Amino acid sequence: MDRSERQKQVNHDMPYGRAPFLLGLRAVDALYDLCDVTGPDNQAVDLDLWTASDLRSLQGWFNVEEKADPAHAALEAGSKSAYRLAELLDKYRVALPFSEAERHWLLAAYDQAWGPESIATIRAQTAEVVSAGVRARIVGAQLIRRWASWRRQADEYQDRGTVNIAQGALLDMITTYSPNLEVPDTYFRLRSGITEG
Amino acid sequence: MPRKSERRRGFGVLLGDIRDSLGDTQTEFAERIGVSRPVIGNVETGTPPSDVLITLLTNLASERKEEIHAEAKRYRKPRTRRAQARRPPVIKERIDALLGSNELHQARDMLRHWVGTGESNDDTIWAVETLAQIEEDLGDRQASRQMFQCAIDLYTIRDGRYGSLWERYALSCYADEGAESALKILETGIRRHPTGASLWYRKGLLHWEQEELPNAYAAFTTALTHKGGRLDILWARALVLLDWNAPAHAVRDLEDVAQGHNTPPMRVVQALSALAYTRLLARLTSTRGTTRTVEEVEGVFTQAEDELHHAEELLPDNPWPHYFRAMCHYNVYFSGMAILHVVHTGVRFGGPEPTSEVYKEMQYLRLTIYRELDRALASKNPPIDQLWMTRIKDLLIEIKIDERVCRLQGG
Repeated sequence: MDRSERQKQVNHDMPYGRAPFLLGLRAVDALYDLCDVTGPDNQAVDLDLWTASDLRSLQGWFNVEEKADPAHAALEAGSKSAYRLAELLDKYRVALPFSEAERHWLLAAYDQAWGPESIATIRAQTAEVVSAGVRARIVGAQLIRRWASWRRQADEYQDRGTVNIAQGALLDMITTYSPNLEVPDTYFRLRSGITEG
Repeated sequence: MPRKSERRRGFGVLLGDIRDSLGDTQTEFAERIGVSRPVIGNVETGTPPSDVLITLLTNLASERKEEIHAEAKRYRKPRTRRAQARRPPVIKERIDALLGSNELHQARDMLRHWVGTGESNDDTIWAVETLAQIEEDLGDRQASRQMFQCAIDLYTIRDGRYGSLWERYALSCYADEGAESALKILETGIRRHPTGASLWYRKGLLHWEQEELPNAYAAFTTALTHKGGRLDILWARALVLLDWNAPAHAVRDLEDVAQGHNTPPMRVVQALSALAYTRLLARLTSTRGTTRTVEEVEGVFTQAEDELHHAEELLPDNPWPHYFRAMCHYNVYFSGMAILHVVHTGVRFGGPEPTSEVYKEMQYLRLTIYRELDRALASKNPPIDQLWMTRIKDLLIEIKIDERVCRLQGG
């Protein structure tokens, strides 16, 4: 393959460049784990139990957030593509089961606590934050519980469809920034399950 | 976004970097290195990497070897004694059950997950070896070789015996890429394990196949020095010496096999049959350059025939007396065909035509060779293996072509 062909291939795989491509790559992983809500025997996972799959899905969200800034920086400020990225990220973030202040706090807490004990560490934490001019108390255990319920569409998130919005945003990131990557099969399995149901 | 603890998150970040450089999703990366997807996901969330994963990563990104080992060292965490005692046998039982019921895909998935999560011990190496064999059986040779390489590296770390792994790794390559590639792998194995007799033996066989007879001889001799399976090696070396036209030396190796205290009867018959043929060659070549009378040649043949008959009586329905009887006749036949070729060349320059007696004699030899080779192929105690079957079939084709040529020449 000569240089121009290689360049064509790169343009084809990464239409917006490497940093947005890596965001798309992380979106694939995040979407996989977000949709992977059943156990190995296709049994629903016990809601009281925080599973390795829950942790991976939380890491998936973390990874997307981590790659979002470099992707933004790689796009021309004020351009249509930068606007589109901001739009997709907003769509994704508002669907999450956290307020803006909680999202920031949890990202920082998870980053600090990263490791096998991360969830136990976060569960034990509380903090006071100011959001929309109001002092609010954040309880780590509540955020963790909310994440588990949200991704399973259980409890207060039942029939809300917000997970579907987040999945849709991730899917748009994949098809926009890394169009040649395969959409995870867990997404299709979940969608076909919903349709059949 | 958050990066404060990126240094602390070393191994997960490093794994992510390696994935990024390849442009792989977790699923693709897991498939690339041969572990299950959750293994990659879990390590990125902070689960300590297993030795197997570290080895697979090191083989994949050898330029970052130091970095991988340094980060792994920081995060490795010993398993509890309870887990060490309890976990592997349960999984081994389940894997054995799956293999017993031929559910290879399920066994593979289970092993792919296990090898990526546990600490390294003998069970883990067993798991990697088993996984390599399952990948091979499922036809994914690339994955199989990756796992063989990984098992070899784990053995190296633990300073264990791993010669047979190099051998199996080389055989996997041989199936895909042929003898040259397999030889390269064996040579690497020998550099790391120079006293591995089985590696030298396998190297000898491959050189023999490549018709590199001096190399084959040297490799077999080294295998003997390192106390490899004596009977197999002597037998193979004798065959090399025969191909090398040194029957007198081959006789010594075959006598060793035939007279060995623990040689099983089948090997004795095999060696005695080969000895009959080899002695015939040695006797004929020892008088080379001098004129032999018909009686002398007949005497040599009678001796060979007696020896073959003796071997045949020891173990009926064994292929080797028939095969080597055919080879004795083939030796005469081959010389006869060479003479016939010279006579035909002479005819062009006004020389005499060969007589019909000569053609008849050649046809008689051909029929004898056919008969004996057919008997060898039909023998059941034991049946002849694939390699020898191919050799016999090639020989039959060669003689059939000669027969047609003789017919065209008027014979």
